[in-house]
Amino acid sequence: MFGHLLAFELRSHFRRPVTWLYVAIMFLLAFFAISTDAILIGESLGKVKKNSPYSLAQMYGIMLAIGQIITSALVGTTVLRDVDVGVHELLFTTRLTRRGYLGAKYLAAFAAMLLVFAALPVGALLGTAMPWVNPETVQAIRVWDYVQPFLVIGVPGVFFLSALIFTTGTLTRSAFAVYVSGILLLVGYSIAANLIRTLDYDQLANLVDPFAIRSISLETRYWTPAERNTRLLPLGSFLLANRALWAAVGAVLLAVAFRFTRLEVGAPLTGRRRKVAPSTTPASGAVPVPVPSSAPAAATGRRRAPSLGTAWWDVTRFQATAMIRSVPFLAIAAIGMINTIMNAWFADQSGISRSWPMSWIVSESVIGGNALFMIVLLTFYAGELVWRERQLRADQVADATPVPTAAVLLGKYTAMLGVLFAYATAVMLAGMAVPLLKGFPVVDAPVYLWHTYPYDFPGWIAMTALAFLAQALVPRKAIGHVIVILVFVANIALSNLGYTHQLLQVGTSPDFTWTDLNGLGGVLPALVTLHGYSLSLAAVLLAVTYVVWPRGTAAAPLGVRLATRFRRPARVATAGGVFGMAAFGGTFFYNANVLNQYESRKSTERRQVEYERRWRPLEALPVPKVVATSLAVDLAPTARTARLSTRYTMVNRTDHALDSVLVNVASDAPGLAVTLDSLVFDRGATLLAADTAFGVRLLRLAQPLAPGDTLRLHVVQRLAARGFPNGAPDRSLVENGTFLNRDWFPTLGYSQGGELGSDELRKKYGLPPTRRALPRTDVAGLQRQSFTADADFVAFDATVSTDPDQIAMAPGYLEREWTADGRRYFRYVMDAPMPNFFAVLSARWTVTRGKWGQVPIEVYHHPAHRFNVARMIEASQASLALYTQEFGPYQHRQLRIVEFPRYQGFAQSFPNTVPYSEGIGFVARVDSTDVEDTDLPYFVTAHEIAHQWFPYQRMPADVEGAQALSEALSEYAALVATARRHGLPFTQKFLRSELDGYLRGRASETRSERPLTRVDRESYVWYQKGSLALFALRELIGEATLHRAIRAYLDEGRFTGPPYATTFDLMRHLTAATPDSLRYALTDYFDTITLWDVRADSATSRQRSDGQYEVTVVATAKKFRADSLGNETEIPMADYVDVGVFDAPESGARLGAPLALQRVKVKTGTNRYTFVVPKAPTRAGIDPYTLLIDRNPGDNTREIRD
Amino acid sequence: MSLRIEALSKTYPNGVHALRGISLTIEPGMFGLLGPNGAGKSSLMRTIATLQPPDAGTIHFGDIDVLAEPERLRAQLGYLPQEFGLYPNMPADAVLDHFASLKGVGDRGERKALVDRLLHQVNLHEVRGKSVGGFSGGMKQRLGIAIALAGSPRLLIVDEPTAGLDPTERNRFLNLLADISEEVVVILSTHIVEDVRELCSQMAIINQGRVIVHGAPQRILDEVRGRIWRRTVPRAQAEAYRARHEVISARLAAGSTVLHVYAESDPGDGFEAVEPVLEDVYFHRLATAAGGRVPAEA
Repeated sequence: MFGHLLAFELRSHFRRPVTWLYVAIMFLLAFFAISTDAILIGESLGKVKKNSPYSLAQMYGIMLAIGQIITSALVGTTVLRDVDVGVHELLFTTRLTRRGYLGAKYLAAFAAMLLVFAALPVGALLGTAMPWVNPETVQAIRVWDYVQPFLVIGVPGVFFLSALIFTTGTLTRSAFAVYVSGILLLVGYSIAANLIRTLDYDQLANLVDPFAIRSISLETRYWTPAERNTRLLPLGSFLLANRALWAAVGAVLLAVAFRFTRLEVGAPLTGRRRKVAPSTTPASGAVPVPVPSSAPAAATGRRRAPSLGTAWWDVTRFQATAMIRSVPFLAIAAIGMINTIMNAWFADQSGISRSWPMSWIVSESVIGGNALFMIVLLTFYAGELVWRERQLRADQVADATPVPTAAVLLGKYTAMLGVLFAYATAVMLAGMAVPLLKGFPVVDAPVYLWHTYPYDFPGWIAMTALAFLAQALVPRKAIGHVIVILVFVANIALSNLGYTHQLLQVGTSPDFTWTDLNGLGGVLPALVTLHGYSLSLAAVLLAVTYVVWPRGTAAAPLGVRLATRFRRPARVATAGGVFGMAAFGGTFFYNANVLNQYESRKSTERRQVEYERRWRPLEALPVPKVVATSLAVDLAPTARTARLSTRYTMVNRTDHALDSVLVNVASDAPGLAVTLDSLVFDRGATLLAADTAFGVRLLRLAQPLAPGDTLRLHVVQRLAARGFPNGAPDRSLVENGTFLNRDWFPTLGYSQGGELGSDELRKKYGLPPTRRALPRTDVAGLQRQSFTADADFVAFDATVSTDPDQIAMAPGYLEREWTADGRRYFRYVMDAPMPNFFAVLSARWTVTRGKWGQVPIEVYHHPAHRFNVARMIEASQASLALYTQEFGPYQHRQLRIVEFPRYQGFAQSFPNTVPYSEGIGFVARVDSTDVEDTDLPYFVTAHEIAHQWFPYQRMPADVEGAQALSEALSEYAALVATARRHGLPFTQKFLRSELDGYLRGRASETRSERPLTRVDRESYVWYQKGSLALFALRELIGEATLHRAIRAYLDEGRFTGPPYATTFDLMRHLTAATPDSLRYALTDYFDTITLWDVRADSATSRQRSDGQYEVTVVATAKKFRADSLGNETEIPMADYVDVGVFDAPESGARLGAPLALQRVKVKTGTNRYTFVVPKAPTRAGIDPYTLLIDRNPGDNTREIRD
Repeated sequence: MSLRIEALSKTYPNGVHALRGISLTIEPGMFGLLGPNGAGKSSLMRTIATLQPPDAGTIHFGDIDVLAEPERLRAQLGYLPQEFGLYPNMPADAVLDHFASLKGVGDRGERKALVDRLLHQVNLHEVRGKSVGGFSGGMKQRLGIAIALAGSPRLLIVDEPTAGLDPTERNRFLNLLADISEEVVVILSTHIVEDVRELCSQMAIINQGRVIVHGAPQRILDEVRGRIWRRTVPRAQAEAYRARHEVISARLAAGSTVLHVYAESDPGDGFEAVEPVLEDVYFHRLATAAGGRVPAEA
């Protein structure tokens, strides 16, 4: 009996489509959370992989919280349904026992819920395996990583939630009570969270969390990202207590249900009945209510069919109301809403840095995170709307009314759109509330409105029409759902396959990024065209839907429907739609394919291959060196045109005459036409070969350029906006925030930049692997600067003009500013030697000024982006002071930090000018009270200013190790500058994150890792390992010694070359400064790839009779040398390492103040260290500040046991 | 305004001949449609209600060619199918209001008054705000009737409307129909033969897609008056009588079987003459049409 009922219940769960809808929601959420950035479940992960056991556990916990709505819907209805449909009278009169009935009901509902939640690990697993996954966000798949957190977090959670809802449902028999209990659980959870945060009782905070979200973070709070990635969730004290408690609560709730539920009809505890009692009627056959004789018999007036407009509006209203009254709709919308709010809440965090919740950050997260729910709603409810009457068997009643078929179709369509519109609006408003709740009082409403409505919504209009057509054509609703989902998948798949043409995609929007500086950025023409195309498509789809729309019980054959329905209005709509598609599609095609060049991924690759085949043979052609650059740039940002006049003075530094010169000029960019007006030398020259596609010109000089002789080149180019491309346009020349980087100006000699980069693809096209950097002894390489190979130190001047309301900017000292012909001119002259590395910018900026000594510091920024301007000025002053004192004088008389639109997210240092993206430091939110805060704007400013010394005072040669002289030294200098401002906690956190970045970087290396002094393209070596190595050396030889050595390295060759510097030069000075006993560190950190593995095996303390504490630490140490492929060999260790004992940490920090800290020579193997400290210690261990490159820094210290 | 059906035929894709050349002319007033399950009643009604096109034949309602201009007929039509559902999560008044609007009652105030009146008429006014999903079968049926009546139809087609109703409701409904049927063509399909006799001025019996009788109930009764004979026999002997007479119905009553037979003259054998009821005509005609006997316990 029980088994039969259980099987029956299970079958009915699995046969119900809504069960699978819930499964699909869970699956898709997990799938897209892992495989894309569109959905974020939980905090931003930074360096923790999305498929680590830790992240997955968090996802499960959070989905338990969000998904309690599904639990309410699924478990709640299982109990209530029997009563609703009246089966209970049949069931309760059988021999079924109460326990059997409830047991089968609960077990089946629990199993169904487990099925729903099991979609999370399955979705996450499949999501990880998708080819488009960003490989940096995931790690190799280990199935147990997905399953174990599900068993620990998911299963007990589902058990408790199901028990709660089940008990509420059986005892009250009220759907309302069921949903309320679920929502109360959520509300109670968040209130408790806030109350307890102020109290700081860890175990209490742990226990009041039924979803175990807090237990996970408590259990893993001292884990490094690496540990979070690798370690499974231990059933430690927090997690075990929490899961045991809530499982027990679930069991008690079930016991209550079993004890107190009554099966008798009409005897729920609350006495409520859901059925409407039949209205009272007298027993006799008499009709009590007088029927007005006029009654419905008014068949006198001739009724007309309702007008299209009236009926359309009524259908819209009625169907929309019916939709929003349905529980699944509310459940999906509520989940979507919570998900969106959560996305928006964390949208201002990325990795370790936080920003202010700017309107564009939140808006992008709102529409991005909401897309999945729009898809789910429109797929599911388009099916419901089209099929509703047939499903309810109200179709005959409705179809026999005189309502025009078009009114029904259009009414349902607008009902769907209206509901989607209202949902999108609600979500947008929730997004707007987020910054306010976070205490950021700026809500830039137009930005939200723009993203939600004109930018995003039209696409849904077309998708909805498509979904309606699919549902009208198919014989079953589920087939329609599959078709709609397939269209979405095809949209993604097509572009992943390289077919990115937007006319092939349904409901696509143009590439767009809101920037405060440049606003809409001229996206309107592309937007109008693409949305016009989508809406025209929607009209055609609707007209076809109208023709095939089913009406009546045995639908007329398609031919008949075509004849009766495809009349004037349908024809007009179809013709209008087709015309619109042709007009808008044609306009788009004209812009994307005719005005601009449409390139699929394949054709781009082929172009790169062609470039290399054609021009690489000229790689060895010697070029004269630029020694002076003079620019005259006239920008017209409003008109989006520019004239670039570049004059180079060049000298033949070779020992033989040069008869030909290879010149590269910029070629067309997406949406930007480039015309070469003239390219003339100061002597006769003939054009040997010209390649307009790649912008390459090979010229033969009439008279060869003798060694030491001078040649002048004058190139004039014109830039002009030209329509819009498919995909992202070039955003160098924009209305407000022009940033013409070095690439827009001529270069000499073959450039590797145009080559195909991926070794895999190169192999496919039969090209040799990419070249590695030249060895440090390469004669030719030593004669060239590493990133401007065609120039030595140059004299530089630039005259830049722009629209009268803008400031134009280039490196150099501002000599003069004037207005002529309604244009504003600026003349910049560089007063110190500089590499030939420059950029031209123009925008309407607000200027904030500061001073360091006689050097003016100016920050050019968007008027509203004042958050960190003072901080940048402070960082500039501190950096200039520090670097001048430690490394030598600053070579310029001005320093400028210039904000550019966030189309790109970096900061870059040009001589005395630092362009800085509005997307990073300018909106960063620095919490100076938070010791964990890394103060990104301060650090980045310090880093970019450090570049004025490294490398601009001594340029590296074009050989391996060049970036160590530029980036590693700058990163280290910035670390010192920021550490002076923020102290030890910053340094600790920063080094931890650098260590992590280095270890991760080398783990995902696809070619081969190189030591720091021979670094080639490995950014994790030149940034992260660079700062670690220099900081470790500083700890060993002392800051003053290290800085003296770096200063000596600069002094040896400031502003000299060729030949240019190599890491041999730096290492020579470092070696000289390092005593023999410590030189192993130079080998370990700089010249080889070395890793250590130290750990504290035990740490115990004993209070002595004198009240002091004797602490014993047992620690094991090993050291390894890795080759370029990562193969490790253990080598003997005899290195100086810190061993120490620590006081309790202040909240937030990992370690407290040291009670004892010694630097001891640690040899391979296990050693014992003893300390006597005056206070009761909490933690002790080896290498506590992780100066060694150690993959498990988390086990270096441990809590002290008595 | 009359409804003229001529030579209507319909064969479903699965081969079922639902309608085989049905021709009927129906004048204003109540028209009863009788027939066993599967006779084609619902097919005929759905075809008239423009829900499915016939293979052949014509339907005219007044000057409306129903098959060519279904929209015009729908504007005059009230239709209550045999089985139907309504929007379960919507309140009754909203559902009725919605259908009134679909039927062309465009003015909001007029519609509200109409909804009010109809809900009173079908005795649902007190529960107008409740979700239809919680309604009992009878309540749902009454709401369906209200929908059919909305918009002052001139052709009302109701397919077994009294099936789920208790006797009180049934009376109330039939009275409503009777009230409006003076100027309106009402086609009432039912299994309850007595309803037809009491209410309908005209009637037809159809079977296997054909009209087998068509006319006024009284005239149809006249056809068999004096030819229906009855005898109560022990149950065990019923079979023997069946072999000797043209038995048109056999009904159990208090342990015995009451036999009705059709005979031009007194069949003897202990039968007595009875005043025919419509049921006798119905069974007689079905038996004749089937060319044989009705089943024993019909």
